[in-house]
Amino acid sequence: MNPNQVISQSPTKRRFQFPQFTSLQSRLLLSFILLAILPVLITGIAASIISAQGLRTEAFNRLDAVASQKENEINTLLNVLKTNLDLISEDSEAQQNILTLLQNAPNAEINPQLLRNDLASFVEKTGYYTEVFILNSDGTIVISTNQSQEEKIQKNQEYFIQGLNTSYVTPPTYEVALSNYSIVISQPVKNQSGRIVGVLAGRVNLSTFNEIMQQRSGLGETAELYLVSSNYAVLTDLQHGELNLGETYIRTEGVTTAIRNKTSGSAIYADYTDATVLGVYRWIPSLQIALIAENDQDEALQAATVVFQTTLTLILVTVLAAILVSFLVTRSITLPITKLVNVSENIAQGNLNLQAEISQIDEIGALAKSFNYMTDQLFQTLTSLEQRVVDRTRALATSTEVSRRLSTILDEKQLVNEVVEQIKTAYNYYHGQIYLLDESGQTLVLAGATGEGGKALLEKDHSISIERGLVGRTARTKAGVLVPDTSKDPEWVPNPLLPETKAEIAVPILLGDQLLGVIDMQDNIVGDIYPEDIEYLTAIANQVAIALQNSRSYTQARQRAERESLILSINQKIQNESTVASALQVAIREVGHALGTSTRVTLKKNNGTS
Amino acid sequence: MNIRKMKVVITLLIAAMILLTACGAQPADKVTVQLSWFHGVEYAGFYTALEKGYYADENLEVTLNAGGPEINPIDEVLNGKAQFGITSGDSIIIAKTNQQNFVAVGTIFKENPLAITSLAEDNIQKPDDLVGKTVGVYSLDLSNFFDLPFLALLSRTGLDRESMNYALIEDFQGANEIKAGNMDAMSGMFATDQQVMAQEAGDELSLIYYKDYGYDVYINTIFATDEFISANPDLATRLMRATMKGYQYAIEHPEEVAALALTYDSTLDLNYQEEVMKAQIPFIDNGDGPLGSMNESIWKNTQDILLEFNLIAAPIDLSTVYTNQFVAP
Repeated sequence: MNPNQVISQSPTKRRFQFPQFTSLQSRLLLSFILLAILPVLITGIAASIISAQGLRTEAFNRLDAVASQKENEINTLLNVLKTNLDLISEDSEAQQNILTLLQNAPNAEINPQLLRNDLASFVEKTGYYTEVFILNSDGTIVISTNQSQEEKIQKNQEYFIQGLNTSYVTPPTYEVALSNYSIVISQPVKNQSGRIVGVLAGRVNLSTFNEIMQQRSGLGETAELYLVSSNYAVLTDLQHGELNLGETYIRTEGVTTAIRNKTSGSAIYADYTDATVLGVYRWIPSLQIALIAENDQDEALQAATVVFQTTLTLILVTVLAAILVSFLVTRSITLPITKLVNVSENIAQGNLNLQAEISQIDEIGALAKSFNYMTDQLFQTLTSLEQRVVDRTRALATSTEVSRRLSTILDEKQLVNEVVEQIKTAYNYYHGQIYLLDESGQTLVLAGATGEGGKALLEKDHSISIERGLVGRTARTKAGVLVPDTSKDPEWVPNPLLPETKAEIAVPILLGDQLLGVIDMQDNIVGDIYPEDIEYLTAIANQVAIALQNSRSYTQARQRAERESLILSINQKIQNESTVASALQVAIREVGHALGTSTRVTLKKNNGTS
Repeated sequence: MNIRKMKVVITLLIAAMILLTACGAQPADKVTVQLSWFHGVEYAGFYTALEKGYYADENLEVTLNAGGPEINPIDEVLNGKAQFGITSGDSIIIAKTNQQNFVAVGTIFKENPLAITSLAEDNIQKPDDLVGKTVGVYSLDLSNFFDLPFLALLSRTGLDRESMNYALIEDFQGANEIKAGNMDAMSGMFATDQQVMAQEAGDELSLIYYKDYGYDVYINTIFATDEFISANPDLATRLMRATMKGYQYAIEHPEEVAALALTYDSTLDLNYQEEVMKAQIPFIDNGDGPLGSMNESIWKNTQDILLEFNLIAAPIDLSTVYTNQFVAP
């Protein structure tokens, strides 16, 4: 895989844009967090909703069940109350006394106090009634357990009017004379012949109903059960408010619906404390009142709230975990990239020997590896390039130096040695030598050489034929020859005095077309001599050629001058001689002296005749 | 469409809009109610309906005319100075027999508050206890219309008129006359007012309610003429709906509405109005049916008394003098 491809593809192929999160890190981070939150959030909300619905249904069912139970209890109580009144009728003695009282039997004397006591003991026995009383057919209370009520005319009261015909229960009504709400249960009193002669009535105050409503079995802490009369007055104690009978009114949605529509149902609404409740309302027709069962919504849905809170906590934890994980993962992705970027920026500034750290074996690791390889290659290329520049500069300097020196050296031997030494040093060759072509033009004579090997060769007056070896080829072809690896050149002739030679270069010393000699350089490293060295050496060779020419011209000129001065001095010496013979003597001596031979000129005929 | 045509259309549209707006804001129906007595917290429902905007919500502009000893609400409604009046149920029946056709559309007190009051310490608990005592009345010969309840009580309880003595009530404040030794009991007192006054004076009263002894009459029904009700049933519905909403608010906020009474008569005593308001709650609302609703049996009782004392010659069709149709639950 080529890591470069990944980088170059990403900007063009990316379809989804994060407009505000431009860095890789933020995009990854966001993606991780979203990925982590969404499932938790969806699951959590769904769970909350489902559990809330379930709990709500359950709460409503429970309220409904309790409301039904209370309604039953109320109706049962009403039945019990009616049945209890019947008990009085069944007491034959009491019944007899009542009838006597109602029918105003002229002969029968009854003691009202006895009857009152009978009724009172009955009230005590049943424990429900606050007052039991009997009305005559005119609606006047003829006897009552509450004596102050006797003689009151109740003919306009529904319990009297209805009680004449049937068993009747009044709705809870406020009796100003008694300063209380109460219900009255009434039923006709019939005489032996079945004629209705009065009404038997019992008054029950609301505490009995209050007791029923306060038993809130099966309901939660905040649940509440209460009764409301059709005028919205609260009849039983409230959990969250004070009850003043006849002064406390409640008009919540549940109460209003039940009373106005005389219906039962359930709803969620604000209760009298303005708290949101799940409410079940019942219209109780027998008493014309509303029964209300309410449960605080928060309490009912507490479990759902717990689910919701748990979800929130989970989301929080997940987000934190996602942030941590994504931070780490993102870091592991972006950090090496950032490092690579830093390295490449440094490299861009020319710091080529930096290396990217390879700590991973993934794609980024591969990228770093190939990046390092690339950098390395670049470094090497640049380094060798620099080396070459250094070499070239040095060669040029050598060339300049050589030419400067050459112009001052007129002695050929010194010149050659100087040149060969300069080149060897400048190019760091192993060995250097210069051959000069002799007059025959067939032999190249070693004129200068470096090192011990060179000295030995010079002492031997080493020379080679132009037919032999690299030097010979150079001389023949009058062109530079380079052998980077001498072991691979068949023409190469090893020299035992130069055992380390591995590479060799030879350039001709040409003056115009005339070959003067050959510069031969040898190196002990294979491939350490470069083709451009031919150019450098050729340039130097050209200088050497000119210098050689100069040197030779100078030598010739000096010899001619010496000869002319010798001739002149001989001439003078001869002219100084007075005799021919002595002149000849001098001439012979001087010439011989000049020629370096002991020439003996013998004059045979006569000593003074020449 | 050229510009001129467009201008015409726009003008028409604007004109239509103005017309519609005008139609939407119908002028409020002006209604005057003649109260049965001086301003007081007894009329708290009317005050509340006015102050809380219940009438305005029903598009009614209601004026409340205070009553007094010289003002007969029957006359005021009859001569058109007021569309609605407040008077007792017996007055309505008597008027009917005089061919003055009124119909009661609701009552403020569902229970009759009239009582015979005495000091609790005198232990006068029932009519029998009055025998041999001096009873304060409105006229010594019991001919005053306000003595009718007492006459009815005597009649219904079978007590002899001569079994007790009578004195004329001159001071109606609390139990002053009793404490002064002028009388043992006072007849025809409003349980609400009298009890509060006595309590303020530090006295505890014992009350014998007339309603418990055969005199059960609506004392403050809201009425109008048959013609007006027939012609404006909707208006009557709205007025009663707002008024009873006012009374419901009043009984649930007795202290707040007591203060309202003072805005109609600044000479009223706030504390007194508060106490009266609280005391009258069970009379306004006894739990028996919607506020303002009336019972046939009480109307029947009223007529029986009127017949008994020859205040009317013959029974009338009671369904023509009252209706509950305007007092919704």
